[in-house]
Amino acid sequence: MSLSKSDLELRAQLWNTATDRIREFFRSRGYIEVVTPIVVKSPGMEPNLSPLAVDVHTDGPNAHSTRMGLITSPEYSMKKLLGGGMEKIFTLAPVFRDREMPGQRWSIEFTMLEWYHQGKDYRDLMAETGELMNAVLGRSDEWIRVSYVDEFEKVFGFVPHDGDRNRLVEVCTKFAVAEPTADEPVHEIIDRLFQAIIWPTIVPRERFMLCEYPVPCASLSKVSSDGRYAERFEAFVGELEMCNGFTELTDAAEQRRRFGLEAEERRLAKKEVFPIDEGLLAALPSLRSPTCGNALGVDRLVMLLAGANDIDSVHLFPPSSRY
Amino acid sequence: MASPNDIKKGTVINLNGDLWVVTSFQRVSPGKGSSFVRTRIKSLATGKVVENNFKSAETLTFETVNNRKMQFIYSDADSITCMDGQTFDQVMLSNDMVGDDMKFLKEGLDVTVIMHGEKAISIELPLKIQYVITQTEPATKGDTASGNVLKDATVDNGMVIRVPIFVKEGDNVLVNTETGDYVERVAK
Repeated sequence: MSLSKSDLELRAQLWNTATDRIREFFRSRGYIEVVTPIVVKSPGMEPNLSPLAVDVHTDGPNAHSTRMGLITSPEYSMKKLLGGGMEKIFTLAPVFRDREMPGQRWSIEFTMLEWYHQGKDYRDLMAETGELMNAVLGRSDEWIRVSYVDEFEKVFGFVPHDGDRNRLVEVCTKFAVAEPTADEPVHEIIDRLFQAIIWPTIVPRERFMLCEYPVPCASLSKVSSDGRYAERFEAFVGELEMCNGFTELTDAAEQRRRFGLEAEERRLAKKEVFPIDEGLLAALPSLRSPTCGNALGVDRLVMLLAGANDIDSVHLFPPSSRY
Repeated sequence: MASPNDIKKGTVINLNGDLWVVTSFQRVSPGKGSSFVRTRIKSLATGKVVENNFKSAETLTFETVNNRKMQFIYSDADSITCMDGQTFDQVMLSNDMVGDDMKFLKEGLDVTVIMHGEKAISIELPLKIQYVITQTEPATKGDTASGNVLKDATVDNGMVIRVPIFVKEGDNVLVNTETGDYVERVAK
């Protein structure tokens, strides 16, 4: 080890403090900690993520091999537990995302905190997320809420939906944002416009929750009853993205449709397409509506606790020199 | 042809025939969405600074630049001067080209000066620089229990950094120049 004993102990202690405070926070609120599988048959369908694939060989009379992957998030397993009737659960799980550049804020392997609560929605979840981060960091910060669709409408004059491709292309021209290619998905055009024009105006706020995403950017979240936005939010500390929280989609048919679209996007991008998780789809109808869930990067929370700007600074085995 | 993921500070990008030097960059890889590189780029022709996001999947054209190993000598109100230790050639760079890296400079520091033709356009610092702690308060009992594991410290060039509470005056520490983070304490 190149780090001195005192540097190693400091880094270990930062993680102990963070995970102790996380567990204390959830247990005091009646959540149960669960352990979920890391190697699964359906590791995730998000078009921009690359699960690490592994071939698993079982031994014995039914010896066989199975193409599997390491989880990019414990989400699917967590939702199956909700389908089994568990109401309030959390987990601290190692997750893996191939094709990331290790260093700065990223690693191929990192620790995810996920929690779910049946009967609550994204607004309740935003409040709880702010309280959790304050509890872990020993602070009492205000978390400002910024509505993505409201900001988008203020600047571009409309709230974008799937059918608005032509309008979005026009806006790109008008605001001198690079013209979309023919195969660029609508959600990516929206996101590029947002990043180029709106982001610089909101990021000077030190800590904020960006919420109410356009429907094409819904991911696994529920669409609001008036169809205006998806009930999704992300918390940011400056430019650092901390989490991704939703009022969860519980409509299995809609979920199957979105998985189909994502599988198609993966095929087009020549990425491995893992099978749809039928167990997850079977569990969804048993979830109460609303149910909320959040995924928060623990490494980044430890960075905030340490006052560090680089993920390497908080690890005993710095990610940028691991691979 | 190059990828936005290869962008570094000092990279010169050719955008439709205009040359822009990257003054700062940040990779952004959202949990749900495509990754991109957020940059601040400065026009070599007009000095204008703009923010630009490049999608990671884009293809860019970089201009060839030359790297010269030099030493930082001194700075004044508007510019810094670096010298080639072998030829004693000196080059000047405006402070705004050096940007946030100004705070890491100390006399005699080895730097890479990025040259476009005869013009110095940027500097690249070593990833880690060693400093001596010149002033910091001693740790107080109970700091660790309350979660306070870091404190302020001033180093030999006047910069203030956050260090672990076990660091003392006179200690040598390494600082990461991309982030300003304390990295570790090292033997003198």
